[in-house]
Amino acid sequence: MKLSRIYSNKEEIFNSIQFNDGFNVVFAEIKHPKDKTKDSHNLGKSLLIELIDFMLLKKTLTSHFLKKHYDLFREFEFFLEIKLNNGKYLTIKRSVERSSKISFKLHDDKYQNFSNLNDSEWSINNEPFLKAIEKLDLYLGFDVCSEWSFRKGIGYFLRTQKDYQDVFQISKFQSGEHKEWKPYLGRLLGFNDKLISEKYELEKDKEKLENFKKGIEEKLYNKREDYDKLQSLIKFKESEIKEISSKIDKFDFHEREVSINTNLVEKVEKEISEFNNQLYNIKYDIEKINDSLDRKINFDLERIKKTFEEVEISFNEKIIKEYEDLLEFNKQILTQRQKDLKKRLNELNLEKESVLTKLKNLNMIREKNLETLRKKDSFDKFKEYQKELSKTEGEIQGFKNQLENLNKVIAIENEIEQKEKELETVEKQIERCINQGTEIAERVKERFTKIIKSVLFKQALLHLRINGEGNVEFVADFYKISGEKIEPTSESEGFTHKKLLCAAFDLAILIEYSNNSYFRFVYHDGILEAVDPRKKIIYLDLVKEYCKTYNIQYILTAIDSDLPRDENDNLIYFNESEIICKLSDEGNNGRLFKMDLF
Amino acid sequence: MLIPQKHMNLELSTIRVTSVLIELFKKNKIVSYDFTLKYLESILGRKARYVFIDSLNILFLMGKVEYDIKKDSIIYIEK
Repeated sequence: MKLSRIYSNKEEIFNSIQFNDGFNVVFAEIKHPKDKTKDSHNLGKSLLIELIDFMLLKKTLTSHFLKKHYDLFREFEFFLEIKLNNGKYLTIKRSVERSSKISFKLHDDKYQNFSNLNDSEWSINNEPFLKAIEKLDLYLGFDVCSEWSFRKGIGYFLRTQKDYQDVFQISKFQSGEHKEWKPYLGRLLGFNDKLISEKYELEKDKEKLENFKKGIEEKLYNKREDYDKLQSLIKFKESEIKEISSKIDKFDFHEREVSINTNLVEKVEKEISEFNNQLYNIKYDIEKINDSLDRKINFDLERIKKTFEEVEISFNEKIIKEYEDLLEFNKQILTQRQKDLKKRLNELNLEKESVLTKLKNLNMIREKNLETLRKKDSFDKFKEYQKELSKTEGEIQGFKNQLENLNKVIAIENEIEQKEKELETVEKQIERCINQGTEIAERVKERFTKIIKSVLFKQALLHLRINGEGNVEFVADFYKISGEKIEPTSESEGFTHKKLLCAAFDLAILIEYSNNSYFRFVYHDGILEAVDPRKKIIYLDLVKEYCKTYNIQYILTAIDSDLPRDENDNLIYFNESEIICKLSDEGNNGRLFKMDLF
Repeated sequence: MLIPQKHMNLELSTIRVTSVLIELFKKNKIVSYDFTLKYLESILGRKARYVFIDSLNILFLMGKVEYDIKKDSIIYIEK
């Protein structure tokens, strides 16, 4: 697949560009070298590669210049004519406004202008974006890495300035995972990409399992070695449950309550009532006696005598008793009575103490019985058993969960172990494959080394190795060979040398697949910038030769300060036929898009 | 006591107190010592207690009352 023509519905703003079959230059020149307000940058060299990428169905991100300056480009419709590997041409139509609808037109002749074509005249009209990629894949008919879409590898052949940082991991793969590009690259070098993919899949599976295990382990309070302990605990707790359950089953509240009630009411309450009566009586008597003792009237003999005499005078005939009898009567009432009352008081106090003690004891018994009835013995105990039962059941459930989680952890660990074994096998297989090498890899490596040697006169190697994580690593570097020792140098750290390593790799791949159906073009944006002038000549000669020999289309962008110089320091200009687009610092007319800077 | 005197309070004379007691005993044959005294005080006032024993003595001499020390009660004897 090669690029043939790119044009738009606004020819006056964006002039169509027709690509050569072989060598192409997008050239920016300085026509006003003394005008320091102008420079040869910002003319649109790099925009062209972005536009081609857009036309080859790059998903438009907001950072793309057509999206960023949507108002300026909204009305644009772009057309990219490509030459298919079967010799036919395909024009891709994509508008800025409806960038997710793609149209295709298959045709036999090159350099067509379909900007005014009716919708019905397109072979495929307004195809949704993802389907359009599928369709384009079919049109391209690649027989190299055909399991992937052409979009996967396109970055290697549309190298922007950002894509020279790493030979293999181009900018679009920088943020993604290695599995996104390493299998593709492995396949491109003839290796079994399935093994590389499998390695990543296994690693991903292992990581998932490890995370899953970690999640479970966070909820685990026991370790693997506690397995047997947990089992024993469950058995022990289950026997406890049985015991508690049987206790609960045997519980007879009725019988217990009835027996307690009878005891309480019939015996204790009755006794208490009797003793209370007794106490009341005693207290009453004591009160009476105290009262009587308070009302003390003394024995007065004179007064008694006087009473007798006066009664004798007044009621002589009616007197029945003798003076002595009266004396005795008074003694009884006033003296003897008090003695008896005091004696009785003592007796009553003793009696009171005894009754109080008995009552106290009986009240204690009653209280105890009541407590037993209400709380302690039956209901509370039952509740206690129930609590114990549910607590034990909860504990068992907890232990069972722990055990289940431990089982899961063990199962996951086994799975992880299995994955590790598989990983080890795959790693060994990958290593074996790498060590054995492939014919394709050998040829690509050889060509890569040859290109660098030819241009820079330095030893560069392209090779694969297994890194510390057991993954394939693609390496392209400069080496110093001293005897049997190969040592890497730090030359590839320089941006210029790194660029040439990238270019050499891209060319080596293109050459390798020049007889296949694959990309047959490469676009190197600013490849000559800062390269040594002598190396530029060698490089350009080599590229032009490859274009002819291997039917490769090569596109580069250059500014006039990038032009190579001969041995007399004279500029060597590109042939006019090689320059497909000329940009300059002559205002809007010199830019790719003939409009004000944006 | 029985013989009237110039400053005698007739309300608290032995004859008046004895008559109150006779009224009580006519209704209740056995009356406790305390109740008898309280009854008297409730009718004639607290000072009546100083004449209480004199009145009981008159009734005893006439054979109208006796004292039961076990029951601590006055027993009225009707003939």
